[in-house]
Amino acid sequence: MDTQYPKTIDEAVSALSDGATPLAGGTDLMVEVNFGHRRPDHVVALRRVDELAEWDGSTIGAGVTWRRIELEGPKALAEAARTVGSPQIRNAGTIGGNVATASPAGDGLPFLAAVDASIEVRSATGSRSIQWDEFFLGVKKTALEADELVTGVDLPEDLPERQAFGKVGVRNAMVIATVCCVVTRELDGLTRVALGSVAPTPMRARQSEEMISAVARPSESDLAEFARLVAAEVSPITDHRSTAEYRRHAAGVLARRLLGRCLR
Amino acid sequence: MPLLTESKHFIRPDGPDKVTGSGRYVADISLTGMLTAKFLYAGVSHARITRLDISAARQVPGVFAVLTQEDVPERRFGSVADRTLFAKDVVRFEGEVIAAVAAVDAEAAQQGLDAVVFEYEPLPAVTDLEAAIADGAQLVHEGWADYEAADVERDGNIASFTSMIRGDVEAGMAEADHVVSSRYVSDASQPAPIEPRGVLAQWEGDRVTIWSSTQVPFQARDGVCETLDLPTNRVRVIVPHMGGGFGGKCGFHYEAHVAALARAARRPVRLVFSRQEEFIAPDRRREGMIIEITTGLRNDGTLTARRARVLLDNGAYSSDASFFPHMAAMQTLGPYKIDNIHVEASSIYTNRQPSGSVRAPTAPQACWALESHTDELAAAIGMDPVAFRQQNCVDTGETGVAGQVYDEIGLQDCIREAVSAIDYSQELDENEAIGVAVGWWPSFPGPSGAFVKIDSDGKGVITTGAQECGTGSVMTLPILAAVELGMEPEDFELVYQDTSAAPYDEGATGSQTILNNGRATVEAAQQIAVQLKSLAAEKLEASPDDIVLADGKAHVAGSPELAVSIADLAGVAAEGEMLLGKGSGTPPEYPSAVGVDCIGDRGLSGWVGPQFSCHAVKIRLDRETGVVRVLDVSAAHDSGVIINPIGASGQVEGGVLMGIGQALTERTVYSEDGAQENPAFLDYKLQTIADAPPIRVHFVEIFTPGVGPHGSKPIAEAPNVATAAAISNAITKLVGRPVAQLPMTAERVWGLMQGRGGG
Repeated sequence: MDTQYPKTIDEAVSALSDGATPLAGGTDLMVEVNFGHRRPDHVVALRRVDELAEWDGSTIGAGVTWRRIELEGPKALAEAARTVGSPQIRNAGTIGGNVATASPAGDGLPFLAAVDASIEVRSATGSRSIQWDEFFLGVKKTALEADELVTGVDLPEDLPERQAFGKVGVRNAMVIATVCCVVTRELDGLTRVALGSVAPTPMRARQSEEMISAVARPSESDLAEFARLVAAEVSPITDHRSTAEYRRHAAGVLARRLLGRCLR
Repeated sequence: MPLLTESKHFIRPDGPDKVTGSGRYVADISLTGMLTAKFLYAGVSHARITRLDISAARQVPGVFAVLTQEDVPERRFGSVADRTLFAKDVVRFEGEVIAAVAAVDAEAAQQGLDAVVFEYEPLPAVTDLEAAIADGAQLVHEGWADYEAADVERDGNIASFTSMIRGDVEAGMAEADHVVSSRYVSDASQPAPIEPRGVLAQWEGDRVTIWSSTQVPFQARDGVCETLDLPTNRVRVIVPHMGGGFGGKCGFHYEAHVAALARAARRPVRLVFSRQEEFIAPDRRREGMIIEITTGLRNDGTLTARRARVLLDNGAYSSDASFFPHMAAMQTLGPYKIDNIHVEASSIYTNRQPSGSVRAPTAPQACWALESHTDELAAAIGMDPVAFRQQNCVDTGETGVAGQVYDEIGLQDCIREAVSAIDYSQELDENEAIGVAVGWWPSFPGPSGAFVKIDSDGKGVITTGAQECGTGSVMTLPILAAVELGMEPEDFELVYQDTSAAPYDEGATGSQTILNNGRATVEAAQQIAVQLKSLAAEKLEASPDDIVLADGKAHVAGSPELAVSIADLAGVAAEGEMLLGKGSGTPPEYPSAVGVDCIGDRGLSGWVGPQFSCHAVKIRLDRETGVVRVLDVSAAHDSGVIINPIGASGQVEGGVLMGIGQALTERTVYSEDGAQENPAFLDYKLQTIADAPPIRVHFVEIFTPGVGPHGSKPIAEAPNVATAAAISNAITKLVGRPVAQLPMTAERVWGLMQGRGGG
């Protein structure tokens, strides 16, 4: 295995065009290597690319760590960052890695879905910006070409003030989400609901959004109906971590509670 | 008997080494020319090996040795001798070793493994305990009847069986006003030490030195001697620092495989496990169990009879598990007063990872079942569960389930203290509850030895076979020596874990270090005390009987100014008759149990120095998701006089946290054919510091003669008994009936609230 240590994005993407595997914080890639699932021959290490760690207004560089997002990020994304791994992992893991890995359980992804973020990518031949729902295509499957690097995520200039992230997992820390969710709500009632771990990609519960956005002051029964709709909209699977039935139920409960936090 | 000097809060001297990284573990040790070992595992749960060809593997560049069972003596080992070093003819679980490779590096070793050619004829995997004992069931071991096993009751897939009968259970049930039956099912779980094990072997001539992360170096040595036909004095096992064990590193594991590889390769060979191997391969997991209990009781709360049936998942091989049925039977009966009992317990072969001693084997699961059942009994007559226990638990002078009459014990005090510390009668939110459970655990007397020496500057070294896997021998033994010699614990260093240097000890197993090696260390130190007193008497012109050793000096009783320092005396001794002590002592005898008819008796009906505990746990339940959070724990323990409060409290806190994990999150999930589905920390969730609630520890210190030194009893396993049970009882208070499945995951609690499952 050989490793390159580029200093600039240009150098990094040039290595990618030679078929290298990008390594950022390593919190996903090294797990795969440890489990023997992957054995990359050629690795391009991104930690020394300072440009990637830039955070310019609403564009967060791919190399920004969870620790920094925990301290400086928008509220719900910071809340999500706080639940990523352990402090050591948060100091290593990056938002770009979370996006490029595209795990259904990626803690940072529901926020990107909720605010309709775009993913900035670059290759040796050019760059493009991909809307999140065109970027995440399936379980660990994205629109990223082999020679493209995620360089950042682009958030809207104005983010809803009311936003909340939550996660149901088997313990308090270092846990893969059974369900994770972001809810945002504007003053005019416009509500967005995004969930992770309940579908192959991060997803929006659009019918639920439509229903609750139309209600200015949701009553208890509106909230119950909202939870029911969210549970109906998600499409989780059963695996050794949880059953589909429980994930569906927990998704509804979690979304309703986060909406409750936004309404307070 | 002198009491201990006022609570020596002696902090473990190996702490800084471990925290700063200067401490050396097996994986840190390299020898010149050292090769890397890797194992080829079965990968399937049950199959006949129809072809196994290693000729190509031996030709792989960089590969120095490839071994299978063909290359080692045919020796079966285990408490039922049902296992060989490498699979022979049949593989019986996915983590069984079929071949081993030693090569220049990990990549070459992997290429060697990849070049091993093997073919299987699949056999049906036995994974269901009830089906495994039905007529005509597929046998895990066709040749079970030919295996050697001293005093183990066996039959087909029943790897070991114990029954305990006392009184007349039919008559007892007939006297009852209520008969309550419960069925509980516990999943298997894992010891999960933070350090995956390592073994390094180097031969010089016909002698081998093995560095191993084992809790039991002498057992490891004896296993090597037994399976490779070697005398004990040619095999030296050394244990550097260990990153925990929790029972997982008890027993004899891979020392012989690595030694055999090193001999064949004519090079030192080191094996270091990956986390996944640590989950899948060792014959030490906490066994899954099915526990059925029926108890008769009167309206006044008197227990009239108990019948129980316990099935334990033995896994594919017996390791040390053949005493588990007897242990589980005692745990299912508990520290109660019941005269009429009939318990049957069977450990059943399956094609899964073998079960073996993990911290307090059988107890957390069986106590969880028994204590959940006990709350059901209290509920049946509308009695408070604490009052019910106060009425029915054994006290000093009373007779327990197996007919043993207990000397002074502190169980009732434990209940009082635990309940008071958690403020049992506090006002609780509607989603909060406090559960209470009692636990008990025996002490295991055994042979053990220690050497103590004081060198010319008055500093001491204790050379002992005792082990340190976090259990605290590094603290306790210096304290015990220091108390005898009027010195400070800091004056002593330990040389431990070297089977050629130290006398025999059973190791860090069965909570036995204080009890057995403590006794040996005290005896060795006492011999030096006699020498010191005689030297001081000469110097101070007094009788040796009048010399007192205190504060680093020897002085004449009543005249502290007539003194000479121990360092000066050591200087004198170093010129002639040196200060050397040795101790082993006689282990305490097991007390008799009266009136118990026991088939498959493993000698566990009468307990030496029984330890008692009561844990009280306050939880909050999220009724919508089933998520349980533990808010507060109080744990009261009768482990006799406490030698080292910091060490003992640490054991209780760790035991409680481990118990919370067992209660709520820790489970090995098996596929239908017996493979582990979550052999990684990604999906096997221990409790972390972020989950840890406040844990209030209280010791009911009763001077207990005839067990450990200074009236002490052991402590390491007892805290891992009652926590899951207490959490279960708290959950039951909120949801109306026991979850009856362990762990009590959020999903299971939620399912119960949806009307599914439960006892």
